[in-house]
Amino acid sequence: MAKTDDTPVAARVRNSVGNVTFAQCRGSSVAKKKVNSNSSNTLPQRKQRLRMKAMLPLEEMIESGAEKGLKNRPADQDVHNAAISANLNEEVIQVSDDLVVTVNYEKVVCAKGRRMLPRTFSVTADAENKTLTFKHSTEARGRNRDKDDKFYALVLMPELKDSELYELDTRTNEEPVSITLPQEWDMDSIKVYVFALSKDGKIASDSRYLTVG
Amino acid sequence: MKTEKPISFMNFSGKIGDYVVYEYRGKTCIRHKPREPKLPSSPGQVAQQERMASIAILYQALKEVGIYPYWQQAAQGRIAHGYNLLLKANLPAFNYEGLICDFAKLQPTPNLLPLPDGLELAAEAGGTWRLSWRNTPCIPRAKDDDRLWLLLMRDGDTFDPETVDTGNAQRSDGEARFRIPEQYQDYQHLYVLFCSKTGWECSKSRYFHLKLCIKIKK
Repeated sequence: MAKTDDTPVAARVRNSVGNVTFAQCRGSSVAKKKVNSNSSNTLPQRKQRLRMKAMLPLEEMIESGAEKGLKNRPADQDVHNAAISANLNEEVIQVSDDLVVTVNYEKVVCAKGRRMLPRTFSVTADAENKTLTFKHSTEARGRNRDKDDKFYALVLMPELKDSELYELDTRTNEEPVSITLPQEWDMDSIKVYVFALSKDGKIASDSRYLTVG
Repeated sequence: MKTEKPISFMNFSGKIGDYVVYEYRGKTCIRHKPREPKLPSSPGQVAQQERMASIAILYQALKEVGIYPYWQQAAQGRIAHGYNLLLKANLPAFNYEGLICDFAKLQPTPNLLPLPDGLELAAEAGGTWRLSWRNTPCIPRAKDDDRLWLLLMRDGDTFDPETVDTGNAQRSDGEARFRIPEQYQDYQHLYVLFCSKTGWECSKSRYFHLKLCIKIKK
């Protein structure tokens, strides 16, 4: 793949001319040669393909959180690129030499940023009412935390490939906050992540995986 | 890289092709869009980003206390606005981690009124503090009814200045007595300033470390 000059004409050229295909990639105009056959099949390549295959449904699940939590991404990345870029690695999607894929949900990233979460943040579940109750310590305004910061919870239901993003409360709130999950969700299988977002929505915190108590 | 070109036949801003037209400090500027992906920030750049991020939060805290209008007044007639002046005055007080490394360098207020001469702070019995000063006559812009304002801050990574009741003390009084509220006993950094009774002018802040003041008295 080759980059072409970013002239107004090159930016508008699309599709194929002979054996060359013109496209846009990460904001740049590129030209690619058509591939007639692909014999790449080494173990690392097969692992990466399986990793990518597992990444796509995971990315769909975390997309709603990533839209808010990955705002501060490079200009040539959209939300999907940023979510995949943050999670397509050995730590999150493990592929053994036997080509068995395991998703380590504790390492999934749906937000990144300078803001900080409270030191203590916990969640408890009520299986009967399908509710989750969140509680966190309150902190005064300071380095990488503002009084108006909002907290969000992203709850994944991997078995159903479903997710939901909930807005919780602000940093100064002392009372627990409860949310109600869809009835068909299994409370033992859900994965919960929290992150902070500044009032203007421009600065997020790193997401944190919470163990449901 | 930024270049300035006089564009007198039309006023516009935004992107045009690979160029971006924008206004900066009252002038129309044009620059090329970044060509290469941005490299990771150097340690110096990260340090400055941390300082800027912390000052943005300090700015919110000062707004809540009611100080920011004084910075806006200080910026009247200038291209820079109040936030720019606040940033420039307080950047040296923060370290590479975005923490306040020297409370004496913090400037919560701009310098538009004079401070009185001989400001002294002394601890008295019963947890009372006595602030005294000399009212030298004929100081430009100083008025007898300029109000005393006290700000408290504490150590650590919190930026939450609190005000202290001074009983409506004013410049002509020559002294003021005050007590630190119970919930602010761990706030060791005191900033003393005077602000005009009308209008939005105030003096720069004089810094006192409360623990050191007690030690000196002993």
